[in-house]
Amino acid sequence: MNAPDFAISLVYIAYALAVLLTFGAILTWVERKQAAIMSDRIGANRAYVRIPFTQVKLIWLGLFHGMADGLKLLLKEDFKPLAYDKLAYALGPWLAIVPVLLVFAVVPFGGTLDPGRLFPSLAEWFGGRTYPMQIAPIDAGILIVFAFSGITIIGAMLAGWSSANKFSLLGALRAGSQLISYELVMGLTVLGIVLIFGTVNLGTIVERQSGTVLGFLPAWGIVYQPFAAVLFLIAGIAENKRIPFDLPEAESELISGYFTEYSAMKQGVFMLSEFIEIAVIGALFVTLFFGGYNLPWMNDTGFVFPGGHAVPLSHGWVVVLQLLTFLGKVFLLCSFQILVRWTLPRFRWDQLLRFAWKFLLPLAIANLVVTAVALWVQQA
Amino acid sequence: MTIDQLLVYFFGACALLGGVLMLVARHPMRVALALISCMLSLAGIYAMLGVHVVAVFQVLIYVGAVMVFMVYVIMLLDVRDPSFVRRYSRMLLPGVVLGALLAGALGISAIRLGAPAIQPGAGAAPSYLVQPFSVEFLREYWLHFELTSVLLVAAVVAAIAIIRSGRRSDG
Amino acid sequence: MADTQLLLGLSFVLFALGLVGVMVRRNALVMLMCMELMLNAVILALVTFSLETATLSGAVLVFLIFVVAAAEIAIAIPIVLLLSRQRSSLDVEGYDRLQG
Repeated sequence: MNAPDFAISLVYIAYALAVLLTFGAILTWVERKQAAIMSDRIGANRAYVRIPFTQVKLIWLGLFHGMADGLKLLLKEDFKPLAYDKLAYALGPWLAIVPVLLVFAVVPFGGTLDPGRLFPSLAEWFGGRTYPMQIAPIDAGILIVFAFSGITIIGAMLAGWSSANKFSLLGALRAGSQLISYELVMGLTVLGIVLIFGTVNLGTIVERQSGTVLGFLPAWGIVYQPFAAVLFLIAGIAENKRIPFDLPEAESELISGYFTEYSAMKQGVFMLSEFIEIAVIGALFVTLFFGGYNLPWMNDTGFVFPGGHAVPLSHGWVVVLQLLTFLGKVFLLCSFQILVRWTLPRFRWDQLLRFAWKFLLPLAIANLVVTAVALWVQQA
Repeated sequence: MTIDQLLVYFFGACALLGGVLMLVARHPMRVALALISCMLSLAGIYAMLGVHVVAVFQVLIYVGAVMVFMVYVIMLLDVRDPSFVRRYSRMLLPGVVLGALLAGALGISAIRLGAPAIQPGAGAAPSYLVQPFSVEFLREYWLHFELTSVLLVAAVVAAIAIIRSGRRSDG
Repeated sequence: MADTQLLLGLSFVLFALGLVGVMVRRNALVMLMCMELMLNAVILALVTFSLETATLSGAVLVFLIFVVAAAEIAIAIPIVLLLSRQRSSLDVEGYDRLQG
């Protein structure tokens, strides 16, 4: 790997880490504020920062509550339970957060980057190379997403089992069965998109969504497969263990579920992984069903409106527009997930499993069958 | 020694370490963790060799399904078991001797084979990208694919039958 | 030593470790996991052969092994669970009701 490739990879990794960690932190604030707005309250507005040597207190709509929470978690006492499996206890938070961060490595957050055109003074160092704006443009994109989601299951189960606590064990069992069931549903719903776009490469799926369908609709996944989009979102919220599917960490039933015995920043890591996974599920939904990083009727060279009217844009504008569009769409999806969380009550355990196996799974298979038959009829 | 080769050696060493730890660990959960690390290292080796399809499915099926099931069951069966205290059966010494003999015999045969003589199949090197691999797979081996689906149905039916019989014998 | 020879050697050593594990360990679930290690060693050998001879049959056989391993684990673990209820332990030295 030569120097320009390495430099671009570093830039991408820094960008992805910045985006994910910022989303993780901001979403805690968004959750509290959106919940407050939805229930006609003011929300948390007590944490302030005082400008030194003055009496001016900055409250800023409660943004500092996230900072205060982070500081609190870092400075809390770090106790360890009495009789526990040390190795699995230490591994739990790692296995819960690292795969979530790694899934974002295959998500395309922009189109093709041509650094030579953006920075003409460095053009000969880059030598005319173009880079797709993905950390890892691997061919088996969707499969890697599911592979890493399987590792988070092991993390949750290890965390719950290793703390010698019956409530944690219950949370771990619930987490294991729930995550397996809904990962299966997620896989089946994505197969419809794979059939239509003919590839499992996430970058190619986004590129193929930049055309038009029926002459005027943007060729987004949600236009081809609206049913599968809804199923995928439901299964994604269940994979994330959010309400209405948050029985593994049910606050009123199981103390804290599978991470009861984790104190201070170790629990902070679990919470952070949950909020980052909100952003990652949003990013996956945007990539598969919502057109990815492109605005409607936009592709790498500019806009191509239905009717043939083309509006070319310069490369710098295209890159900035694609990055901002991706972030905006992911934020909309995260806001929707928070809306669902504060609206619906929690499932009961048997209802949750029955919902997955007897309702969502047959619907996903039916969706796949209908898609396959429709494609076959269309190609005949 | 490029970084690719170094990574292959690193993953190979991790796989070997995982395998040895499997035999030495006392608690089945530690053995499961060693096996998971061994499987992940093997997936890393496949990815470094360029066989991305097999690497991804190794993590997806083996770590994500088989080992999750194994960890789930070990979680459920946490009994204070005599097999935790006395790990090894009576066959410890004969077992180790036989294993060493087997590894030695296979190793000597591998060395005697010498460097491989590449006999390319009909045509150029196959592509391990998902689409060409799948098309090639289903063009030539579709019968095997269908037979494995029959095998999976048989496995599902057998699992249900076992659970039913277990429930009946429990009364 | 060539790269493929090292990989084959690793596959042989892992297979021998798995075999020794099945013979030596007393816990039924650990024996199952050592069987999975043997299967993984075979998968490594198959991938190496597939790369050596530049055909696809090795990788295809790997997929069939994935399916067979999943089916085997889905049946073997319930059998072990039911068996362990007879003696309330997973120690295979206690499964001696078929002895003469």
